[in-house]
Amino acid sequence: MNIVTGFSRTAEDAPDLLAVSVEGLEYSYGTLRDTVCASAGWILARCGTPRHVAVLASRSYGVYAGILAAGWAGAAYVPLSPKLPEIRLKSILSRLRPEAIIVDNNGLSRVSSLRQGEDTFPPVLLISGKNAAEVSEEGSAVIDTEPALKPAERSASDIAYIMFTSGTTGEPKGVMVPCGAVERFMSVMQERYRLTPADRLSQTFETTFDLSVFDMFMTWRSGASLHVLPATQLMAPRRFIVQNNLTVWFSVPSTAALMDRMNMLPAGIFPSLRLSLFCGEALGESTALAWRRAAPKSVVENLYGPTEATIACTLQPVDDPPYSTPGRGVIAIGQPYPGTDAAIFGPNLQPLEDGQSGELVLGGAQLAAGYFGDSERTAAAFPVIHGKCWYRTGDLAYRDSQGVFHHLGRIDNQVKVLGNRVELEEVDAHLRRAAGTDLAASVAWPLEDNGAASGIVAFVAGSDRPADDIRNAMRAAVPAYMVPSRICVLDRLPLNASGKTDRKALVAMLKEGV
Amino acid sequence: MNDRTQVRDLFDGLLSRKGDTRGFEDSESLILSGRLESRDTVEIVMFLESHYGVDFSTTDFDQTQFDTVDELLNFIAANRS
Repeated sequence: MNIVTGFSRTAEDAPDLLAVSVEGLEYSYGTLRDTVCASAGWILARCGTPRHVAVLASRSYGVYAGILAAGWAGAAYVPLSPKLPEIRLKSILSRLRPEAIIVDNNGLSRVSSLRQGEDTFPPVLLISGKNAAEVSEEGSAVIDTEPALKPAERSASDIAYIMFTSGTTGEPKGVMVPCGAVERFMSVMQERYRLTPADRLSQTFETTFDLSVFDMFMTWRSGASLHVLPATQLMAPRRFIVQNNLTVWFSVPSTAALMDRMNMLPAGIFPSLRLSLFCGEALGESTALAWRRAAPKSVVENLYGPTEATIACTLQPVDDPPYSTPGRGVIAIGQPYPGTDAAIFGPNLQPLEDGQSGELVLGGAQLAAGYFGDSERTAAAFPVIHGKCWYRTGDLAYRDSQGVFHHLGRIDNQVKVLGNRVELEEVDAHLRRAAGTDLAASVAWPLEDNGAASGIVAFVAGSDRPADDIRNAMRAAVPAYMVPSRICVLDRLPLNASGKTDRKALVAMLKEGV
Repeated sequence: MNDRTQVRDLFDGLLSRKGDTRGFEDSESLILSGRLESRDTVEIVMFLESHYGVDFSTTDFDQTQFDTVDELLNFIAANRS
């Protein structure tokens, strides 16, 4: 049950079809397979039986070939952004200890500084264009290892990928997703959407975001083509959709909301789209309806799901009028996929009645295997209740009398910034270090109409460091979307009744225009 | 106020809101360099709509066209109504 099996089959049956269009170049399934077989052969020759292969690359041919090669060789792939600060990359690599690292040219520029100070460092393979070369401290050499002609056998419980997401303690959490969960997700999606070689899919998500798994692997198992958006077109991708005749669009709702706000969704602008999916944050009603009008032939669906339940696990079709969450102006998150169980639990993990709000919990075939190297946190997040394993999402929700789920926000301080999952406690932890004070707190701001955030604002008190210095120190420690866009220096931070920093009061200050 | 001054004022306002007061040349990259974020693009779009009547329901762009003062001035020259 290897996640690359579908790709392998397509490459065998139809090697001339277009597999991926990226950086202005087109690569067929046959070409991509040749790179993958050569790279996987190198992994096996250099690492024996690899468990984890890190892929330090982004929006390049190398990232797609690298992910497929890791899977082909029987390893879990671990996507890492070349834009991550060094300290974070080093922390993940030292915990993970991957047997190999695959890079593109952007990833390569990070390797020499990552190597510095390390006694041992995994072998590095550079995939640049169609060429693959091993890169050592002495230089690079084109690989001449035997290609691996067939993908490795994998079982349902083997790990397909590990995604590192924000963690409350300041250290990112590695969500381990098994091959069986991915296979289950993909078969449910294929049953519903029936992708064919005629389909042309968008690729908006960074590969460090698990929604990219849908784009890549749904494309390749159905013989369709993947069209990678350049970073500069992500904000306003209208031209990209039209010029590439995309048939399937998948993005965070923010992308559509921004286009709507910029009057870039006139009726009928996307005649080629037959399927439009949104996931990662709340989908506003008005955005969803604007998209429906812009893509009149497209089915529009709102997906929901944490990385811990594999990509997405509930969905709500967007009709007109839409099935929305009363009083919130957002589309409901819908009903669970076949094979996924969803329920609402109270504070003592007891099931609640329909209409009562509580924590959304998920069970079934798409659950992740837990957090890498963190059995304590795994046990807390994946409790076994009456013999059944559940994942506690931390999302506040209720189920209505029709069996449809509605999302009401978070129980904790996790927020979504333009679709990226951020634990505010993690931002605070780094902020305290950067500002040299314990009096530091962050909030998601500004908030969009659908409750999603487009940035983070930080508040510090008792720090003698200039805001610019604090921001620069944050930039060196956390991904860009976690760096506060503003840092407000106060005399003191407001406290709530229990003596903790009152984030609601901070948001109220921003609403008043502080 | 001429176009160049207006565009410089816009970028100046966006940067200083982030505490960035380093100053910038007209040819200096502001978005791709990371000094401004892609979400600031929305404010640039609104500025272009309100000051120059650019109609984004019929006009395409990508962020590379808004990256410097000079590029934004070229965009305005080509798309003002």
